Amino acid sequence: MPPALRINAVAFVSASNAPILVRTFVDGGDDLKYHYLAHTSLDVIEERIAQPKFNECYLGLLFSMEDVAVYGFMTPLKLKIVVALALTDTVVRDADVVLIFKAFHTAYMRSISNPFLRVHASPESSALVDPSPALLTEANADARKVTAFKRRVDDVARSVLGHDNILE
Amino acid sequence: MNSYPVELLAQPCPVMFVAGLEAAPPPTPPVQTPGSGAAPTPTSAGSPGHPRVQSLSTTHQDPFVVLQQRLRDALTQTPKNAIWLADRGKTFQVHLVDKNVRFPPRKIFPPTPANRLEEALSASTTARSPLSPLMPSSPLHPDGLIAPIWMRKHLDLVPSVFVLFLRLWELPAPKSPLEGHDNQDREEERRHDMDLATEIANRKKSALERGIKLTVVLIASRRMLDDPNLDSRLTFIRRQSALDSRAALFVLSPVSSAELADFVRSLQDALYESAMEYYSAHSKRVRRKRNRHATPASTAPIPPVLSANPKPMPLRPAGWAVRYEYKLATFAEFRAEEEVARKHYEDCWIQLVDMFSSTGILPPRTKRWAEAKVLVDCISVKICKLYLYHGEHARALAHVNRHVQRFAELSRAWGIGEETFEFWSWLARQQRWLGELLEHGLRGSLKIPSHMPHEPVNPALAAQLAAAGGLAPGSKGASLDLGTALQLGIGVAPASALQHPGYYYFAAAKYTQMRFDRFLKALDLEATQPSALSATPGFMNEKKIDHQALVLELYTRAYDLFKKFSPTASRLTLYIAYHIALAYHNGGKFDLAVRFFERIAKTYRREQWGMLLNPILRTWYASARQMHEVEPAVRLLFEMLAHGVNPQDGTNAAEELVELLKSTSPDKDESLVLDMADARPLGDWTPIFWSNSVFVNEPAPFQLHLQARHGVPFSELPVSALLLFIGSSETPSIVVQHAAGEKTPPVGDVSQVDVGQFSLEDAAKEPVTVSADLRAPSAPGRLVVCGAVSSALPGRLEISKAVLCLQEGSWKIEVPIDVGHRDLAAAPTSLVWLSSPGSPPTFVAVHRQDHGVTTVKHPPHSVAVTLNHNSPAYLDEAYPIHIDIVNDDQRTLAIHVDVLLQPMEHGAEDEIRLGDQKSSALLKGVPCGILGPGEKMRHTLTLSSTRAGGDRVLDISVQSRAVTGDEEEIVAAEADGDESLRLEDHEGAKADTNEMLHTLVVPTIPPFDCSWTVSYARPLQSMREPADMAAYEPDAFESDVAANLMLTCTVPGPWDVELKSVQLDHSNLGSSRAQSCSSELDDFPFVLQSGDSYSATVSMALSRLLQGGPEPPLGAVRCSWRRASSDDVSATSSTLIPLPFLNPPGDDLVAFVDPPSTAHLHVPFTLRLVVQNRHHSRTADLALQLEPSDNFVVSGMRSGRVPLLIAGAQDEMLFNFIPLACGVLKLPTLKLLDKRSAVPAAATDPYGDGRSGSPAPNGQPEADLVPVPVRDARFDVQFESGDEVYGIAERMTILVLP
Repeated sequence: MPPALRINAVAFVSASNAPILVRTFVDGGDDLKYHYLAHTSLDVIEERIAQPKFNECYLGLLFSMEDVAVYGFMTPLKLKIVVALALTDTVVRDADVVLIFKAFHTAYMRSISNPFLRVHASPESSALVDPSPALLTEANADARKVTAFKRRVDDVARSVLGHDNILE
Repeated sequence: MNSYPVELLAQPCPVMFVAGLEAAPPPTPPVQTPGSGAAPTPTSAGSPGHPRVQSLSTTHQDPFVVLQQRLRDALTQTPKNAIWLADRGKTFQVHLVDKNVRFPPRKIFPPTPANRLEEALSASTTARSPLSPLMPSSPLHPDGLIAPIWMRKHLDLVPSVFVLFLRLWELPAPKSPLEGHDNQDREEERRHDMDLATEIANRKKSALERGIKLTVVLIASRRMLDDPNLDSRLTFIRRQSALDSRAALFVLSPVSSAELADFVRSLQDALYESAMEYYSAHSKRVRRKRNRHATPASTAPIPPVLSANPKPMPLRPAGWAVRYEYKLATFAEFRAEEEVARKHYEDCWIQLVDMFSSTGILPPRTKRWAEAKVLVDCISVKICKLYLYHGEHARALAHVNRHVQRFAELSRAWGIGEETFEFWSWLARQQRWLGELLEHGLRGSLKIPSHMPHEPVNPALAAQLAAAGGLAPGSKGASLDLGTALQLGIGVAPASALQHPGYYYFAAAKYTQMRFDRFLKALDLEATQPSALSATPGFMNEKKIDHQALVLELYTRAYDLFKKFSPTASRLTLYIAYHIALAYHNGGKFDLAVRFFERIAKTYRREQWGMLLNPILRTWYASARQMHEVEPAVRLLFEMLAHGVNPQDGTNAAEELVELLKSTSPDKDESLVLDMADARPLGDWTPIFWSNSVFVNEPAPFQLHLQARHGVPFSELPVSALLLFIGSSETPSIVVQHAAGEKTPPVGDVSQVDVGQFSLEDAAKEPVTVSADLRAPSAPGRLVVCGAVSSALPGRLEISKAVLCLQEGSWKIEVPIDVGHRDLAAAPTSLVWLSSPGSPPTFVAVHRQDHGVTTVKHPPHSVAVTLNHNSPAYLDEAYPIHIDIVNDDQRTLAIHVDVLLQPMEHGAEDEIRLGDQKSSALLKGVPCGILGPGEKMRHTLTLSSTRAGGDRVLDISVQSRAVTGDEEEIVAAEADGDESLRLEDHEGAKADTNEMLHTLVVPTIPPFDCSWTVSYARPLQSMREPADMAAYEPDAFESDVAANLMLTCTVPGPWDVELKSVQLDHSNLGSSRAQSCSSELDDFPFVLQSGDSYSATVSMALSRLLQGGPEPPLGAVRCSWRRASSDDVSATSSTLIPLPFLNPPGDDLVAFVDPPSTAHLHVPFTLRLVVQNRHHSRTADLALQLEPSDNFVVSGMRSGRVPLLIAGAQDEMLFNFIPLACGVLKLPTLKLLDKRSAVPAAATDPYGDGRSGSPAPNGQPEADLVPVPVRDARFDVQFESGDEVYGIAERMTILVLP
């Protein structure tokens, strides 16, 4: 992994376009800004997936705004993952970004597959065949479950960044 | 880009001056006026003495005026000073000028040097351009780089080609073709031509000085073109005016617009080369100068910077290099050599950056420094544009990024870093020009690329490059072409990925906002600590700028562009709209800001992006406060409360709300109803019903949990009451009044309010009212309203709405809350039922999805249904199934029965019948009458199965409806078949229904297992003669074979069958005839018990026509029977047993003998041999052999040929036998041989019927001939299944008595 690839933030957005987790990895980072970036990127994602013959998960560079380049990824179950990388002049290899996305996806999958998530879940959430992503939202009152998810996401970011400046 | 001089940005095109096409008013035809010299003025054209010209020009019908107008239009199509030219091939920038236009002075001699330094530098006395920094009068003196005026000179003031339109003098048209021109006319013509040539020569001279190509277009009438003198006149004019021989003289007559366009095209094509030469010459000159300059400059020491003396230094070598590079680039642009131009511009940019790096060469914040900054920005625009022309987006953006990055660094060094407004102003300007340039380009030929990832074009190469790390950022391979990387599908450099201009405007707007913030800071600082900054012109200028308007303009442009490029995308535009709203808010336009906020908030609420909503709510609230709008402010405070947002840091929304309510009073007396339908409610409201269904009038326990969220302290809100609405009621069913600290002291975190048990109908009249402390719940506590509600009517029961009432001063506020809809994303936590409010309270988890709803139902009817029948059923019988219904309920019930007979697979034709309804599949809603409490009824369903045995499946549904007195009549009428009254139509009748389902499987078997045994015999009577006409009568019947059919029926089922009759059904016997049936002799009826068999024999005569293959079943035996156990004696079922397939023996040649049974010794008896040819067409050829015997003396043919037997004929032969011994003697064997069967296969005749077949050759051994069996007519019986058993002639015996 090239060391220059810097993840500023990652956002997980549910199939219904509600935020699941927005995590920033910048010291004193403006959380709100990355919320906005994640939200606006949904537009570009919808535009991309509406194109005929598009059947990839990786959606490529969505846009670059201010000092970040926003990349998008959508899983077959329509979970959207948006990564904001620090803007760079050098070529960012798609393969590297795909790797990051897959790692984040795996982190999500591992967290949502936790059978104990459903123990105290509301009947609406647990009745679904696919566990509701709402189980992992930050609004979830049971913060313990979210913590594990956050930790996994941070682990991915840390391994990409190669150092320990993740906010605990 | 408006802040840059347009000359430095415009796309240069070769410049063409066009003279002689002055505009129509005043109408002045460019006709050479004789005697007026080389300077004809517009006024001179109208002078007396030229009445003809005058008369021509005054009228608008004049074709020459029209021609001029069209020429003007056609020539000036290229837009002036366009920044982006989509079509850059062989086009000129045309300027319409006066014929006597003067060019700016080319070179002048400098005035006497004023001091020695300048003298030293401009030692040469050579003439210089007035724009040269070496000229003291120049604006660039002494150290300027490039002034826009230099660019203007080449764009507007000096052409590369000069086209002069002149009118060729013409003689008046002769009055008649015969009239010739006299010598006087010729002389005048020559005089005019001479003047014309002089004018051209003068112009030519001035053009030649500058190396400008002069082309003359003579305008003449069409008549003139045919004049034989024209050529000589043109030659004369050219020679006299010293015009070039090539592309220098054209003649044009008034033509149509289309032809004119062709002319203009060809004129430009012809002159393009000259223009190129002109600019090449300029380039050569500049290059020469650069080379000359470069040599000494490289060695000459840079004069030391005299810090004490701010006197401007003359231009340094680097500056000269910048000048030359810039000029070379510009001339290359004129020549449309874009690659060359870009390289020169890039060199120029590098040189300039070098100059900027040294504060000695370009001291910051000086005039020259500012000029150079403008120049370097403009050069960047050009480089970017030249890349974009060729679709090299990545390189274009890479250059912009480099430019921005480099100058950002330089700015920091100059002390105008990120903390200054100048920096952000400059940065915003960079983004803005990029956006504007892209907009210009998009109007032309530019296409914004898509950044969709795609498959590598060359996967192998891409993989190789990727593996080599050639593209890893930071490595040396990072210099790999960004465009190539994109093409290869490896990835993109995000900073070099071109996006639509909206993004750049957006960035510009953001930077302008930063600039404004910095400026405000500086302004504050200046107010407290005045410094030198406030006196700088930059600061003074900044004060005059309306930053808010600028920010708004940029955001609005970005907004429009985002809308244009992605019309469906609303979120991006909302994001910008948020910024616009903020700008409006900051600019004090609160009403506009609020309008924006309203729109934005809708989407954010819907998509549950609370984080984004928070700042909007805050600013919106601030705007509302500024506008003194209390109601929206209250509403916003509620929403903020729900989201746990405070209006400002350090404040509390609840306190703010109370304060607001205290300080204001409502406009109206009515209570204010806040519509919070799409907003997040205050706290989590969860209604739970204990069970999902209850019976009518049975209490349904329910709880409504109100859980406060963090930051929503109910205790601080002036809550006065909580109204709960159950079902579709318009009035509240439950009213919980607030009473501080009353009745329900919270236990732990839970306060419980018990409203007790009540009925919905009573609550509709008067709501259940209780008191409780409603201000208790504070996070994480919860308030539980519990009770039990009953309903007299069936239906859905739910808490549809809750209304939170607040009261403060004169304010009455109602907040409706939709409790039915539970926000899954907001509250995915477990659902609990408060089981015990003790300490600690205990909860039971609820695992029902529709926890907020319960269904009120009628209790089920107590009806017993039993089905009685005796299976298995027999086919063809009417099988009764008794449905016994007993009403064990207290209600009177109307009963309906549905019966569905499941379809069978093998096409059985069954029928069900209930009452007077029958169907093959479904009986629906068969009314069975009314059943009072304790009564019972029996209905009989009849199932008739035919054809095939197997299981019949019946679904029987017994429906009961509770009926009241008056409905009973309806049901009774319905049961009588009166369709006019239906119970369904009766109000409320449908409500209390119940249904019982039974599935019945009826095994069905046939009543008899039948088998047939068939045997055949041949009748001995003689055949009809072939020519017997009786055979052709319509009802002629000749029996060839007698069939004997024996039927055996066994009863397989457990039930005894009473056989009533067995009859042969004669109806369909076809060409056979039944002769007798043994059952006619039997005594019916009699009972066959299970396993008993019954037999009957049918004798039939078969016609010969039937022979030759199995016969279809003809006729049937009809058995009439009934179930012996059935009570109904008269019931008769009828089963048809079809006759079997008949397959009578099909031999063609038949031979019989009929010996007597006994003979007497030595008494002769006669043996008759009958040979029949039964074949329909073939003639029989037979040979007879009689084997000798010791026991008999035979007279008759011993051996020989039987006479030929034609088809259908028979022959008889008689033999006399005299027995010689006594006892059972074997008769001598008669052998008949079919000679035709020995015909070899090869000789078989084509007809196959022997009509022309040749007989067997004489030498044929008889052993090969097929013998025809000779049968004993006494025993001729043949069974269908096996061979003939009896009657073989070889074994015939006779008893000879003494």
